Amino acid sequence: MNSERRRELLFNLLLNGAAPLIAILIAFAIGGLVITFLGTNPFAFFSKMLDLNFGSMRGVSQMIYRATPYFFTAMALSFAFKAGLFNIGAEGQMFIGGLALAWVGFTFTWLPFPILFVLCLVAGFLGGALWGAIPGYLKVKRGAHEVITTIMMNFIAVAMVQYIVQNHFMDPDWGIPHTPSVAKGAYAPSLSAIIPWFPQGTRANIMFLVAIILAGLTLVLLQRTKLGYEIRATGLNPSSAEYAGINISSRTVMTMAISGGFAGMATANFVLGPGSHYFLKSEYGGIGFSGIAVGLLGRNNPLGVILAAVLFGFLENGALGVQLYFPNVPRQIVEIMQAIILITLVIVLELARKFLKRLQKRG
Amino acid sequence: MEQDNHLQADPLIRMKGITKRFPGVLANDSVDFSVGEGEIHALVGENGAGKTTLMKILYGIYSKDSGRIYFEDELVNIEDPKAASELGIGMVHQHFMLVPPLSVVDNITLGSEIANRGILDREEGKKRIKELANDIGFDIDPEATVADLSVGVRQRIEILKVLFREAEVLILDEPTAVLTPQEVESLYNILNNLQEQGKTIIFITHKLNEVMDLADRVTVMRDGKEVGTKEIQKTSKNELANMMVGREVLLRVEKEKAERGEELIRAKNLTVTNDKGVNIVEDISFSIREGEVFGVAGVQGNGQTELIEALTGIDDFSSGTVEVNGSNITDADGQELREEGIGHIPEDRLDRGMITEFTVTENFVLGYHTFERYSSRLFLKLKEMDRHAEEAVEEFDIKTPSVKTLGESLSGGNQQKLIVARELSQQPKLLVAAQPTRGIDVGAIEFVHERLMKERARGKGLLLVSSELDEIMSLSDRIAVMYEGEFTAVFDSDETTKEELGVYMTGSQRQDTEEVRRKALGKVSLTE
Amino acid sequence: MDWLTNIFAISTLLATIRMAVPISLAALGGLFSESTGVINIALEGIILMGAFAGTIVTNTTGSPLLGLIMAVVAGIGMALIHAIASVTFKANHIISGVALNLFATGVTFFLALVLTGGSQISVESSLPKFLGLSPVIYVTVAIFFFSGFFLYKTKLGLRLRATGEHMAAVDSVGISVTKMRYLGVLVSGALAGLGGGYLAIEQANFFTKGMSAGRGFIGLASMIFGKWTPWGAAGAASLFGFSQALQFRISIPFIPDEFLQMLPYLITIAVLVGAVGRATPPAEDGNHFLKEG
Repeated sequence: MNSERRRELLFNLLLNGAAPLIAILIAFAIGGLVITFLGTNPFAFFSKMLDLNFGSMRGVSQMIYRATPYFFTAMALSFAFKAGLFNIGAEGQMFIGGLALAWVGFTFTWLPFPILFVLCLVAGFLGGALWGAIPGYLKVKRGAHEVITTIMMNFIAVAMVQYIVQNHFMDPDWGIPHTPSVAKGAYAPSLSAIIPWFPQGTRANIMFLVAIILAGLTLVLLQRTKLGYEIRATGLNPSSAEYAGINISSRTVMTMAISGGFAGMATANFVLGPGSHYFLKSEYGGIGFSGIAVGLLGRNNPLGVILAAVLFGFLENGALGVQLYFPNVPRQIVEIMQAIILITLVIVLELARKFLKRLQKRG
Repeated sequence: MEQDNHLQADPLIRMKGITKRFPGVLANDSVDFSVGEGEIHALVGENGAGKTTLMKILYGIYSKDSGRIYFEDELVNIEDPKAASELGIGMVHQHFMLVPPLSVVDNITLGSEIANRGILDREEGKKRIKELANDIGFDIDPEATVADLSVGVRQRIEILKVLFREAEVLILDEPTAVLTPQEVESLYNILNNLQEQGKTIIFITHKLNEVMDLADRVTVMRDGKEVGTKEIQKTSKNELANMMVGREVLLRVEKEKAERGEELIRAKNLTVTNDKGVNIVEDISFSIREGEVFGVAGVQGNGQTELIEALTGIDDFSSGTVEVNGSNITDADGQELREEGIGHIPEDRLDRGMITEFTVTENFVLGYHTFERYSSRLFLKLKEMDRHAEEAVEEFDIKTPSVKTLGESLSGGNQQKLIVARELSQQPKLLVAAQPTRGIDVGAIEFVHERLMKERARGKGLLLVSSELDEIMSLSDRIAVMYEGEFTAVFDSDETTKEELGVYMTGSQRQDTEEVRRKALGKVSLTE
Repeated sequence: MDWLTNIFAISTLLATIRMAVPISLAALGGLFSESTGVINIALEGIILMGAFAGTIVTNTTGSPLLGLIMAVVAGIGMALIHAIASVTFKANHIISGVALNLFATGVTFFLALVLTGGSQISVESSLPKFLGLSPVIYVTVAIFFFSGFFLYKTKLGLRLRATGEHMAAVDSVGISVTKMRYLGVLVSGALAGLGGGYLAIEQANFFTKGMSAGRGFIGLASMIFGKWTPWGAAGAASLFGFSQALQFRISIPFIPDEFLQMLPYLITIAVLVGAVGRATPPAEDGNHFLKEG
């Protein structure tokens, strides 16, 4: 019995700890090779990145700012995954939610903080939830696979949001299409306003704390509530869930809605946080898709997702800053590394599973 | 071991000491099997007896752990279906290996296409297929799309597929399981024609009528072992039935006198229709009283699963009514039935009964998680859940390091005990138990039986479905035999024998329909 | 009513054909891959890779033909990674595809910057036109005729299609499922790669970051709308090419451009939910082949 407990631990360690680490190491190794090829010392390059992110609270703060939206789009993937659903529509859900929260922010301008701020988040959640629930509903009612419908809904969202912003919310004098600015009541306080030792003037804001709180709430939801129990049962074994009298269809739609809701709040970091205070569609492209990598890297566990999001924030923030020091290495190096992390991760996970199976067979 | 070895001095295929182990199951335990050239050989046994495994080893789909295979007295190594094919062995699978959107000719020739520089010569293929079909006595349209064809025709295509590859030995896995009586009739003709052409045929079945009608010899398997090979002329259905289901009587269950009380459940004219419009369960009625065990005997696949799933709210009845304590629960879902006090031990532990990635505690509340004692409106009462699970682990002697251990770490027997513990802990008035001891060790079987009898003594009702005759005989007060979706006989358990049940289970005899109905509803006389 | 005459102008027809080429090649690529049951959403990234590789090779060798060949090779290279991950290592097909799309976006942008210092590279030469159209257009038509023949009339085509519908059946008659799947995926890479090469070398005459702009996914949409047949895919790709031609050339009253942009995706969902005739994907789409025993 004790050996079984040990095996369980080994399983967890290998799949949830070692596999992501190996994938990250491989990505850094390949990234390092490319950098060497460009005539730059990779160690100097990466240690500069480390310094830019962790060398000062300012760096940490910028890193957090970059990491925050990834948490939300990654949770969209990971939460759906718990119910056995594959939501790759975070991109579209993020846009719809983002527009919704911006709309509330610049429409109900008379509302004070924090009422307007909270309402904006709720609107973002609901917008994303709607966009997520549609594929869930189509799956349950018409058997349309959520992978294809969520992909298609991404593009529909992009076109729709573009149309709405350009034709209804835009001042024709503006060069780049964006919405009007949200009212002060919707501003997300910067972290320095809450945590005294955080440096002022960076964009890190309360959304990062919201992310951490949501991660905790998600764990509670999944592990301690009736709904979470039913969602997990549906994902792990639909047939047994059916035996237990769980309404699988309703759980599917609900899971997709919550999943989309997460993505819907992703842009709050940019729209409500310190900075421009308006919704600028062209700034956010790709965060939904990268969220897939972040979610998988975090092994679909809310706490893991936070770590993975921070890693992506680290890469992105580091890449932005390191350009000043190593101008011959384009910052897109980190996009390549992110892709490599994802592709090696799925392969390493498969190898780890095979290895564990063989171990199990041997007893 | 009974063997008529002298009959086949020189068999075509000999399998010696074949052993195959799957995780947790010994599917074939040193099995010997031999087939003579040109004979029709039946391989019979209950589900899970290891027949299909043995044949998949012969056809190279499974690799054996140990044992030898001789073909024409030569030791052969059949490592994949291709190797089997080259020896002239072909298999018609129970789940057809056909590609539905493709045409008949494409399906039959796939892998052995007739082609000219890579370009298919379908005309030649069609011609050959028509000839092959005519040879064994039927007609086929090679251009038809397989998806549009009936199951019977698909089976013929599978047979043609094997013949197209010039097989001399045909293995058919449960060929009649999916056929209508008319289709069975024409399959018989086809197989007889094949035998006339000198082909050797092995067919797997659990229907003894077919064995008697068709086979020259028969081999019986039970629990992964071969229990004997008989010549058809020298055996009878009754003998075969006993060989099939006659698990050694390892235990005697203490059956206390129980007072039969009020009627708990009354089911009338229950019918379940599948999506093809066929009645899988037909016009079944029964009633169970407090302190009574109503057993349903039968070879698996005669509608028991469908009856149970509809009764427990997983599926729907197409007609009929179920009343519990006078209230109509025919259309109630699983949740409502549990609230009515109807527990359910499902026949498939892993596919219905539990979620292996859930902890012991989480599995312990499966289906009852909405009950007030385990959850409030939103939250689970984790402490209560753990406490109850711990009590049950103690009481039912479930071997697990803790209630936080995942279900998948438990042995099969302990998983089953966990399910039994869950259902009994909720104090159901009526328990529906399907195959409650399948695939678990003797100790666990004994334990489960004792617990079920204890419930009976407490005045609970029990609907027991099992293909283990011993289990049915020793636990039940009344026994119904289910055959092809109907109850064909009902007995008081002390008025019948295993042998008699075996006869009814194979469908060779049935009681008067009205009498069955009356006895199943627990009425002693016609006027009651 | 200018816009009305414009819609039916010959120039609109020609634009439609030009727009349809990369979409239809991606659609046919998706079809080859899915006919063996491997979902390939990396088409988008493959187009981008093809466009980039084609541009660089055309400019360094001066030969657009070599450029197009290189686009095909780059497409096969990407597809090979997809096959290794999703067939050999049994990774989720979608995840592998997402990873490759991210990879292509990053790597092409990165290399463009490293090699030229900018995100846009103009293509210095293209193939001589034949009757006013790029020869690749004729080649594409020929590829469609050949594919129709190959998939339905040849031994290998039959085996490919059978693999996507019932892997166990294919395996049971001694055909290697793995080989069939590799073949399907690699062909899809070659076709989408050619589409990308055409896009940069023949159509746009430049490479720019992210220039695939959803064409891979519109290709996927065409494949679904075309009900997984080559001619259906060609028809759907033409329709979507037409809607793209309209977006770029004509502004139609009351119908915003964005609606035309959405059209392929809306139609795909309509097809998937059975509102516009049911289409069934290959039965083994997205599955992994696990051998028994």
